[in-house]
Amino acid sequence: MSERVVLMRAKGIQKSYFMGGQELCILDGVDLDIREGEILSIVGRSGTGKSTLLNLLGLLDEPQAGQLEFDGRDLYRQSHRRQARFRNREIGFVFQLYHLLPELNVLNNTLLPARIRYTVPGWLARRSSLRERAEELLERVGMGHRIHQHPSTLSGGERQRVAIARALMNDPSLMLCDEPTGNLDRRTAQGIVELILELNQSMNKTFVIVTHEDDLARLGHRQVRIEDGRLIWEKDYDPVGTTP
Amino acid sequence: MYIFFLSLQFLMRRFVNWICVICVALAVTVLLAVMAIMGGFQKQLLESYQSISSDLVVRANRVRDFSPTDLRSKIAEADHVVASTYRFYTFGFLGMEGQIHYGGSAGIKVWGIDPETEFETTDLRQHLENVADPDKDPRDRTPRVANLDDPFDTSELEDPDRRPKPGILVGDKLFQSLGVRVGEELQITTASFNEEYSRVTEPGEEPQDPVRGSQQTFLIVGTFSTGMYEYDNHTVYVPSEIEYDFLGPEGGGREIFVKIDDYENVEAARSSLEMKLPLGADVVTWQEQNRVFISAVQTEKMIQAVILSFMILLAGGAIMSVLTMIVVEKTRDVGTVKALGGTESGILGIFVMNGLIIGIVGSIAGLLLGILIIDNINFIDSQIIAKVIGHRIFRPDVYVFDEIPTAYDPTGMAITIGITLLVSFLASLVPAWKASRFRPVEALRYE
Repeated sequence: MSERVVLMRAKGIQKSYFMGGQELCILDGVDLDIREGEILSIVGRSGTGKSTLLNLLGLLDEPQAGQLEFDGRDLYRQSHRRQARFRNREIGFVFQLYHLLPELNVLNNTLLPARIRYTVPGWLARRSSLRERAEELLERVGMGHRIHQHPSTLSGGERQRVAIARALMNDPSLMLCDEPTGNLDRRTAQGIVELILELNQSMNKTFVIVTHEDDLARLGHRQVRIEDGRLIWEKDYDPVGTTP
Repeated sequence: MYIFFLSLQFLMRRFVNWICVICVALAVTVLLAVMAIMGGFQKQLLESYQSISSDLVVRANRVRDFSPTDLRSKIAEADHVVASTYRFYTFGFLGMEGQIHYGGSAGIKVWGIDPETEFETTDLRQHLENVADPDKDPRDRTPRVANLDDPFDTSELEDPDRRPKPGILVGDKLFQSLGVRVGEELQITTASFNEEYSRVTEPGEEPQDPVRGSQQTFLIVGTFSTGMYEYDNHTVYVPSEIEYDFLGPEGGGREIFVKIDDYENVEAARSSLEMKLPLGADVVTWQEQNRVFISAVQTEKMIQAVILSFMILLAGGAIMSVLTMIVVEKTRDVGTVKALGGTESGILGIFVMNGLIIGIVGSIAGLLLGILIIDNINFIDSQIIAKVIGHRIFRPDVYVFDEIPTAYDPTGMAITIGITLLVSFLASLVPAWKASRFRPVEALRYE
């Protein structure tokens, strides 16, 4: 485990919310390394700050204090524009509620990160190869036959598969999944769990998964629990034997 | 790449956006149509004013030892001059069989004209040829005078037993309101300041009246129609050669109407004329002579355009409220786009582009609809409106023209479209700015 390269390092992250004039500390100086190719599951009771930590790792939120190092840079000290660029290229989000755009069909939802990434000339030059990639990814997540459907015609599991394909579109180094099976029935959830595992093994993608589903949490090479704003390491084992 | 793409996707799938497009299109249509119709009326009125005047007018009231022939020969030597004609004018009252017609509060303007040179210089022949009843079959139409080449010819109408009288041409509206007929007599009474009045009288001499009146009886030879109600209701033409007999040595106001080769050369012609003319003669263009009226018409058109442009502001308000609604509705999607790497300026761009697309599509639709209405306004008035409300809005009997006049004003149209696009842009800025400021984590949680 320790031989894996550190992809992202969070140091001393503090996050509080102010509710009714009172400060509510959610994360109190959290340190966390995310290593390349691992699946890290974050568990904890509702409201303990799992999603907050994930949002902070994905630059969707800003902490009161702390650093987030990636490639030798502190991402929190970068401009909003650079942070957006980082999210676009290096992070793939998978949300509990899928967050597909209802106006776009499956193919266009998958292509959206690439549309955001490229300018018009860049897009036009790569259009067919990007489309091929999107179709390939959709095929891979089992949605190749429904690329022209709109999200409203899909089931929850299908939507989550499309969201995973979208997250993979720009080939990010880190996949952040917030309760990816939280809205799905047991059988469908199992399919998503298998898909994540398959992507981790075949594409060597790094996953950070926030969940309170035991099946999914158990998949993690490492598992951490958040309690009273601090991390408690629960598991540090390799269930599938991929760790050297 | 995503800005235009998402903007279009957000727009296409919402019916309410098309209501905005319709609002913008209607505002543009109404503004363009009203401006074109106002412009048409303005053009027609200016043409009417031009047709009762000439390119240049030489005012010669203050010229000493005035002689129309001498002055006209000097004028003929000036550059660009094609023709000229002498006119005198005075103001007076009309009388028939002892009854005085005051011509309303404005009195009557009497122009003394010379038909032969007048035909070469002004549109007089056209005004005499304008038939009395345009609805009649052309073969049945009667001209306004018996002898077009010599309109003051009274030989056919003269009573051989009575003293011959000069002919008079009466504006057709005045002719109708007087209820007279061709061949009847008409008296004109004028009054002028009596210069003898200021002379110190000899002992025993009767004191002079301050005003000296003169009267002349004319024989109505026909009518003329310029199409301008006021002019046709307050003007008569008499032969210029009777000036001395009619008004005495003082005569009336004196003007020489000058026609030039091309109105483009008006300034060159004016300076050339000013060099040739004696002291006391002023040269003015027809536009300067009617400056007050022309600027009044232009002001009227401007005020209408300004008032109607409020409709565009109204359409801008519709864009702003619809976009605000869409931004609220799309809060979570804005969060998603930001999570996927969309920037603040990108989100701003999506919604500003939304406003601009509404503005552009609305302007194009408004432009096309406007052109369709402008080109078919008479059909709409006579076939559609007339059938719905029972009569045409435009009444040809009030105007000299039979149809609603229209004139395209490319500059005005471009300004209208430009303002529409600017308003659409500004109206979208506030909601777009709000959307761009959403923090992604809050936007994603928005319910």
